[in-house]
Amino acid sequence: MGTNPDGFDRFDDFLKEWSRRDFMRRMGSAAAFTAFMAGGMEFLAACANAGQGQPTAQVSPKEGGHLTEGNFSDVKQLSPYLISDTASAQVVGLMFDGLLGAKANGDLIPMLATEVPKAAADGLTYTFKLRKDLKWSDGRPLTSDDVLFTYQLHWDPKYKAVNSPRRGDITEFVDSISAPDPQTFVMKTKKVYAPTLIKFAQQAFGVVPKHVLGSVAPEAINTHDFNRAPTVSNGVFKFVKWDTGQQVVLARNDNYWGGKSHLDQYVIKVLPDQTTVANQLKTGEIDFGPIGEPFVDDVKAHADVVDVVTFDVAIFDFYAYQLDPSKPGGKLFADNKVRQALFYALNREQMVKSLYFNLATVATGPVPPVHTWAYNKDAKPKYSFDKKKAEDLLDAAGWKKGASGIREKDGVPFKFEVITNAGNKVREGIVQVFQQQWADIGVQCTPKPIQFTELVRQIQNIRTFDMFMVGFSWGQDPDQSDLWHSRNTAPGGFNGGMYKSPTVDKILDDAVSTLDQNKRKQLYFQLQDAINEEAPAPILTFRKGIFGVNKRVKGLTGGDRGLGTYTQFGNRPWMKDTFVADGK
Amino acid sequence: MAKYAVRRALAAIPVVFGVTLVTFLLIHFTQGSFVPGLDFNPSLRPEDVARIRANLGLDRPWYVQYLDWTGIAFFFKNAGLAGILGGKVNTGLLEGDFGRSMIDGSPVLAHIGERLPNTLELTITAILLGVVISIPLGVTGALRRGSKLDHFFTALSVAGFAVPAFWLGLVLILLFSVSFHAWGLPWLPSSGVATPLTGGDLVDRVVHLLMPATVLSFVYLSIWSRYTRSSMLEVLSQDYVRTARAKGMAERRVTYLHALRNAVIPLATLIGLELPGLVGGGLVVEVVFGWPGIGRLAFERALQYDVTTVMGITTFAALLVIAGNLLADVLYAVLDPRIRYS
Repeated sequence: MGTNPDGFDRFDDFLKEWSRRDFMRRMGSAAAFTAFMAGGMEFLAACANAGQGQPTAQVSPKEGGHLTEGNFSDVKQLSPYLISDTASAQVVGLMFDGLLGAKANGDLIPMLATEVPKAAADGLTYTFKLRKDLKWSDGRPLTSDDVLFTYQLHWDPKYKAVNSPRRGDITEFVDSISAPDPQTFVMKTKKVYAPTLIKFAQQAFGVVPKHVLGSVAPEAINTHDFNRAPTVSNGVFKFVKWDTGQQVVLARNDNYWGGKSHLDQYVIKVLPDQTTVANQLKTGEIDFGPIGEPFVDDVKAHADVVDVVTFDVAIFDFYAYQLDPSKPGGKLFADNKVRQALFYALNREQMVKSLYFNLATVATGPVPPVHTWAYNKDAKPKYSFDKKKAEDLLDAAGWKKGASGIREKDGVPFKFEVITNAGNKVREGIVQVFQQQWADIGVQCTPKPIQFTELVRQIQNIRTFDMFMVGFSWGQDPDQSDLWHSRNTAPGGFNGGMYKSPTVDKILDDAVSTLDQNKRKQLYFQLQDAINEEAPAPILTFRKGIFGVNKRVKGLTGGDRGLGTYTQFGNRPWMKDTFVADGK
Repeated sequence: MAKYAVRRALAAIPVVFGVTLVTFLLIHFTQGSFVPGLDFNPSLRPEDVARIRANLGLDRPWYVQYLDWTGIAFFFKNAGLAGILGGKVNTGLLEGDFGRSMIDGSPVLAHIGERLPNTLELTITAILLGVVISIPLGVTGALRRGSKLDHFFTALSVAGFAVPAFWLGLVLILLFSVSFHAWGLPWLPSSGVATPLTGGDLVDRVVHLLMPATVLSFVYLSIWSRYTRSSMLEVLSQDYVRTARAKGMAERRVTYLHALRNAVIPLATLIGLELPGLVGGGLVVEVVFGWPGIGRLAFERALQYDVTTVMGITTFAALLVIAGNLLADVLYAVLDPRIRYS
């Protein structure tokens, strides 16, 4: 869950590592084993070539050729107004620009608009000026009429029959949309809302052609051919064909506002799992693709073919306590000392080493460091591994060790279950560490991996768990209401642990209803201390993005418009400048 | 015979409905609030989920959804009884409409049509390889029972049984793709039916087919060669084989004309039963080798609760199982004149 760069919100590994791949991962572990056996010599090679994707030196770009990207999530559909998953967003983002985009660090940049607008004096009105002479790939002019039509699909009541997953969100905040002249689009919000541009002006609202879809009945849009073959687009590439389960082929869009791409074609190859992505990076069958943590060393051993690029991402792994007093778990964790004690008892340095292969860092609080201005590395308390402190806290809370070695209070033994999604090796490893390290302080925790869909239902609706453990992915804006605000304890919300704090609610509300970044910064510093202190859902680790890039690919890494935190998925301003050295 | 075939076909109708109903209920009751094609995220509001579920017709009671899918609801509507069920009613299975995918809104039959040729390419190659290799293997094993060669074949088929296809696949990929590439040798592509963009000619397709077809045929081969061997042994001890030999018939003729024809009868059933396997049997191999076949489609869509696509493929597979069984029985009669159907 969370908000990814383009506002494609997603439950981190719900997408990246959910059950389908979890099944594959079990197969993948066999490959890891054999790869290890075959890897004696390769390990030495890896040590000799430890260099990582250096920024490309200034060389004049080569024209022509194609780039093949591999991904292990299948593309679902190709229309910007229906998609909600990253694999589809990646392809759609190459074909459809929004009004704005982002640099690697998350700063907004203009795409179809000429500049990033500032809110008007009322704090509510955003006026976008479109670039001159924008054209669709079929040569027709792109005007604010198209932009207005795009936003109508998501916002206008007459398009309710369109399965846009963003309607609820945009209608909550946006009051009106209009196109006063062919070059101008105006969006007015209902109240001052800091994340407006990040959430509603980027590629999640990729602009679609009115001259293709404008005359289609709303309910017919869901089954329109455009969803599988969007033949008219405005991005750096245009659609050629989609062989499902195999690849999507795109070609250079000569009408692109930013100038022609150096590449003739772009291929997105759908691969079955992480193992295959790693293997094809090694053979050069794909030029570019994500690498799972267990495969990184293996890919690095082929440094003559492929570079490994890593960067911080806005994703953290965490676990949440049941805080609803009417549930059995809620009674165990009601006392703040207990929640803190369990967190102190975890050795997260060790987890990072053994479970994440050092490709994660110990979290300092709820805000990840990639939210630079809002991140406080000194948020308190720090929760360094301290078994004695954990035991003292539990003693102070009245949980005394009984004859069986398990702590008890008022005759109730300290026993509970932790749920996570079955098959996810990292998470299954983490809950096993919970079991061991909490047993050391007299607390009996039983890991219970369950099916992905069941886990979602538990977190969002049923909520009978004692504790759950998952990952969460955030967007460019540091707003964390999704996880901590009491309104998201309503069924369907992601505050599944039922954490309710009037103080935190106020901090979160205040922080999004001002556009003053200094004020926001102070509020988010307060949030980090408050969440650390109350520990409703301790944040374990901050994750990293890991990609393999073939040596022949240039202009993709390095620089603030290169591959990075917020440019790894749909939003990819670097695509225009990317080329292949051999021109093939 | 024709009468028999018709009777069997009629008997298949309730089977098809049974299969689809069970599949439907399984998907329906594990689906919960999951919406096909929709990823859960915080900006997705409960009202979005409710709206999209309603747009997809998932908010109706399960029996209405099922009756709609089967096309029975459409009959009701035509009979002026739509009011009983309420809501939107479409054409369904009985009208030959397999429905549209709940994920991208495209016709399910188009999906099947797109993936089927790939799967057939893989499975037919594997089955042919299996038959062509397993029969001589089984016959040789039976003729030279207890010899070193026989023991070797036995060990091979035990290995074929015991080694999981995905493991064998991964080892082959590691050796023939990754390692061969690293060693600078000619190497095989690790995934897909053809090289994207530049490939797709016959040579390219064959190169892509080599590893997956080998892995898949290995499974068939180990089973069928054992069957051929034991059935051959049994037949060779029959009276008519001794009679044939006593008549002074050449050993080759005895083996291949008299014995083998009878020995392959059980094999015909096995291969007939493998017909639905033509569609789904290669799932694991399809997954390991990124083969865009129908098994992988069904598997992926099942995990995404794309009800209509899964139902479509299941129905298709059920029809194939029935056809395969029927075909095996007919083959029986052709191979063994003693068997008559009336």
